[in-house]
Amino acid sequence: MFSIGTIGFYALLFFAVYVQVFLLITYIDSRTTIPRRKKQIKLEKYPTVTVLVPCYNEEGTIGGTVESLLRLRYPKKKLNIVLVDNNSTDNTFNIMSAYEKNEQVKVLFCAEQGKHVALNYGLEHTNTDLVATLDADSFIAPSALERVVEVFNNDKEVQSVVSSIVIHNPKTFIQFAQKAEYEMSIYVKNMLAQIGGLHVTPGPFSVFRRSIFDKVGMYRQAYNTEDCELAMRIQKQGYKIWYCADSYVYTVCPDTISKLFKQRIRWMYGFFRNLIDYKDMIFNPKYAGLAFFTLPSSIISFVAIIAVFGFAIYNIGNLIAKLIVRISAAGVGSVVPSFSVTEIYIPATLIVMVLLYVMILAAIFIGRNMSRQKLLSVKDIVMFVIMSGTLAPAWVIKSMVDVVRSKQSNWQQEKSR
Amino acid sequence: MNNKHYPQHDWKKYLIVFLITLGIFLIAIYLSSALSNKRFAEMRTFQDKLATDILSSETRFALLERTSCEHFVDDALLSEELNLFGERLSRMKKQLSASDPAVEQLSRYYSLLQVKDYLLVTQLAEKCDTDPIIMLHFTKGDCAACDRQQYVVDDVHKDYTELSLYSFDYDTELSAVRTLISTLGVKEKDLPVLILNDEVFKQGLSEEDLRNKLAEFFPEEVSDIGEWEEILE
Repeated sequence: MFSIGTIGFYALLFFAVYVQVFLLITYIDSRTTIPRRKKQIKLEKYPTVTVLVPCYNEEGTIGGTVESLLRLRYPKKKLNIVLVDNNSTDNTFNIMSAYEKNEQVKVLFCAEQGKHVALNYGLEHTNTDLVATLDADSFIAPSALERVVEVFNNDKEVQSVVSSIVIHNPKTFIQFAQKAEYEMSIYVKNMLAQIGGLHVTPGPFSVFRRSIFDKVGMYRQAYNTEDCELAMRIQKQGYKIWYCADSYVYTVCPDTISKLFKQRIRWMYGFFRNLIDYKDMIFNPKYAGLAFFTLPSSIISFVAIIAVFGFAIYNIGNLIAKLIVRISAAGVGSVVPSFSVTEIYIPATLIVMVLLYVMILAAIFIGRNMSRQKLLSVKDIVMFVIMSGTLAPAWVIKSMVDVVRSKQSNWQQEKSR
Repeated sequence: MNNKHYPQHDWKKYLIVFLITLGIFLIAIYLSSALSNKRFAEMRTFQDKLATDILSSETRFALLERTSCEHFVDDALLSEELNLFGERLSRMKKQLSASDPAVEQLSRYYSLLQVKDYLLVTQLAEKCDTDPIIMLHFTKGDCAACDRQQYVVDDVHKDYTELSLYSFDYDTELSAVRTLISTLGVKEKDLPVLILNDEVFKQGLSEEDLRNKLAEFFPEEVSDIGEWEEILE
């Protein structure tokens, strides 16, 4: 009969298809409500907004980040920009200070290190209706803020709005791989928002009602994933987070495997630890999609990544071992594959897997369409597949080991270049 | 806790998605099984043709006393077709599973056909004084030496197509094969076993040794080097 491995494989495959079908059905259900505006919008009301930019050693990008903020289509009197230097060791502070001549810009210095500390320091100097956080290596589209503000204007229950994150100017193999991943993520997060399942208010750009921090508290260290913890906390207390698909922010992503590895281990580790801290939310009917879809599917996804990786390693190892035996027994000439198209047997799992990959490709293309990126670019998809199959299992395993050993990474270390 | 603003849970959607996913799996299983059944049907047709050919040969063999050997020898050997069937079966096992009931059934029947063909060839050799080169190969699963021997036999057989090769799995639960194993005195501890005409090789043979042995029976098959030498001379 079936072995445990076979049953496990079928269960994981079923789950993977279930997730993709769920997202697709959600997309079909909600596609007409997803905004894809091209023209400038006119808001009925322009609430006051502060954009907080925590910085640590960002001399290469902070100038561009501030410039993008100054180009925002939003009334200047209603928009404050607060740049918080988190004790940088490079020229970041001087670059930031040069912008202080602009009356919208205020520069703060926070000696105590930690992204959450810098954000809280900035929040303490904020009394506007809305507060946005923008990473210092991200550039915001001129229309991004007004589109997000419209969501707040239209839905009083929304406490935070998340934007679409697009990779800025990818150059290396690893950046192209992330480009496809982020495009898929735009689609996935959009769908998660529809079911109340967003588990993170990402650092690159998220906007909050200022009052939510009074209700749920300030940023926490949260294993250096303060954006994930805050999203969980907001929802645990019953407040709504929404997604604005056509509000774009462009972020600089890690350009080397080593930097990417550090970043992902920090994310994964933080996610696992926050998951443990908020475990009572899992399968709790009060928390809708987050409890029944996002959190359980994340856990199973990590198991699947490791299982598929192990399965592939086992099979490739087996194949190589057989090949070695064959060559040593009967020579290289014996390794001529005998193959006939008329003798191919197509297992059901192969059919399902092909369908699964088609749905994943569809997810990338829908996300690409939502983020107005070039549709017909295959290079980044190929690189994404390579990255998912090789590097992703490694950082998932490493972060799981770190969780067991309670070893956490550091935002400052990751930013040190 | 205030969760009045939280999106409501849509249980129906979870159920619908479950049913759609289940439907996808069922359709995939149906498509795969339809295709496999077509392949199995092809194999069964092939198998039936072989069985008919062997039965025909047996019948003609029974009539041998009334006719001459000359009419028989030309087309009596079905080994080549049997080997072709064996190769297809082997590829089928690699893609599906050896424990698949349909594959198991075909394997058992293939073993039986091999036994019948082997008996026919040996009886014909006695009656008609032919001199077939027969190699019996006994192997089994979970045996590294047997895997190595299988690779050697497969590779060498490509160069000696005239060789009547019969491969049997020692673990086959088929009385005809069990009887053959016990008649020939093959022991599990000696596997892999090769019997080349009457010579028994316990623990098998290396590729070089097997080629050397076969060269004794098929001098023309290994005469490439000799031919070149003659040309060069």
